[in-house]
Amino acid sequence: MSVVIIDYGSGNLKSAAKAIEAAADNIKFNTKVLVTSDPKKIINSEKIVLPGQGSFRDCYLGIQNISGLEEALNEFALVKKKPIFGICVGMQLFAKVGFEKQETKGFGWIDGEVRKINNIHNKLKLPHMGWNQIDFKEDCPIFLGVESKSHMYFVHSYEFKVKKNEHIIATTNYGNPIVAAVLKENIFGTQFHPEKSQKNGLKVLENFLVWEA
Amino acid sequence: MIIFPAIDIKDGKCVRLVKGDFNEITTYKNSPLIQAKVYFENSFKFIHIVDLNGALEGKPANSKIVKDIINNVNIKVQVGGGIRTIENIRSWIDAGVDKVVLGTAAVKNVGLLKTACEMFKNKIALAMDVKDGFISLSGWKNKSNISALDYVNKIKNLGVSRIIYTDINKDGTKKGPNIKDTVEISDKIKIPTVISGGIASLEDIKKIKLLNNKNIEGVIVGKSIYDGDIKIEDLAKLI
Repeated sequence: MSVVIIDYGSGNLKSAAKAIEAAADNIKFNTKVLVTSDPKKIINSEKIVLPGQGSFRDCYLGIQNISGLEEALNEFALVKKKPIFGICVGMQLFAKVGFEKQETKGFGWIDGEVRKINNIHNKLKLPHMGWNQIDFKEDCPIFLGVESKSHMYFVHSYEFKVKKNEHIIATTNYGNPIVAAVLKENIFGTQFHPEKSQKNGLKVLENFLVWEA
Repeated sequence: MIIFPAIDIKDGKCVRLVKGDFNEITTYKNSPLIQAKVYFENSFKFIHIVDLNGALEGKPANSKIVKDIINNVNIKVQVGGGIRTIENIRSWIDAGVDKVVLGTAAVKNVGLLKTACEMFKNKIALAMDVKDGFISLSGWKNKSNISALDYVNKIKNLGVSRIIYTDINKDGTKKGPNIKDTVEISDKIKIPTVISGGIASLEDIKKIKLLNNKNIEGVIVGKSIYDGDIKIEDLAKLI
């Protein structure tokens, strides 16, 4: 199995790559992890992971700054329909539009927008940071073997407001329900950081490795 | 043809359900280990174990008991129930299980089935629990919208070593197995298939034997043994 971690200057790449390697090792699944921004290598890989740290806008511009990268991602996800895993802002980029800093368009793969979390008149601290329980749909292949109500690690101030319920496969509660994971055919993403979520996160990554959309 | 006597384990005890319904449960007095020994002493070479707590909870639950059987009884064990991850599969194989039975997880994630078949050659059996032509999931709590025929077409080339076809409308009812549908599926995919669910008498088993169908590998017998409708000694004569 070849997995590419998309390198577009967002940081967090090493921990994502390490976590994928740990997951592969754990299930003894022969996996080659490559960190690159090379469009050709991306298109030819079997699976990709799109991490994301910083603002929606900076991440999107970071991708646009690399020639051919957005096209390669589109081809991978929409034409070849191979499995992709977006983490945190990487997942948020699936949205049509984001409103962090200023209005910025996203990939538009999953209908919805990225908006600031409602902090209920300053009652809630932002960012939403730390461990929080998730509820997930039991029929999701990526959550096989994950115990219901598992805790995952979150750090974010903006949330993905997904338009269609069918694309939401996990939520968490922070004042209000917040999307914790999305799934649309071959496109999967989590708001939480599996690479920081210890055993539960590792299981999600293991499942992603053996997943066939 | 292999005859697999079944041991369904819940809370450490031998039980049988009717149509997979946990409200219709019968508990039997022999412990799973004793029961396995009885089968061994009657010359059975294989047993079929279902970890019902595992099936309900989504992770292996009665592994100590199953390991006890493997370590103390010279009989090939196939086990299913709650096996959802590669880790689960490996732990059973490391424990010495002959075949690991995937059900729900293999339906939800065909990639898992594929990977498992590649990693553990000849060790993976697939349980197809079928109700009115559709696959049932998660300890039979849920009927899916996946047709059994579509599903087998999708998985027939992955290297599954055995299919266990259970007709849920028949299981635990002793109304006779669904031979027709099982044969139809096994002829289509040419994977050794085991008939399960509804066996009521020795006649049912003889009928399956007489089919002489090379794709029908065997039959699982459960409730009829425990209720005394089929005597173990008589069943043993058909091995």
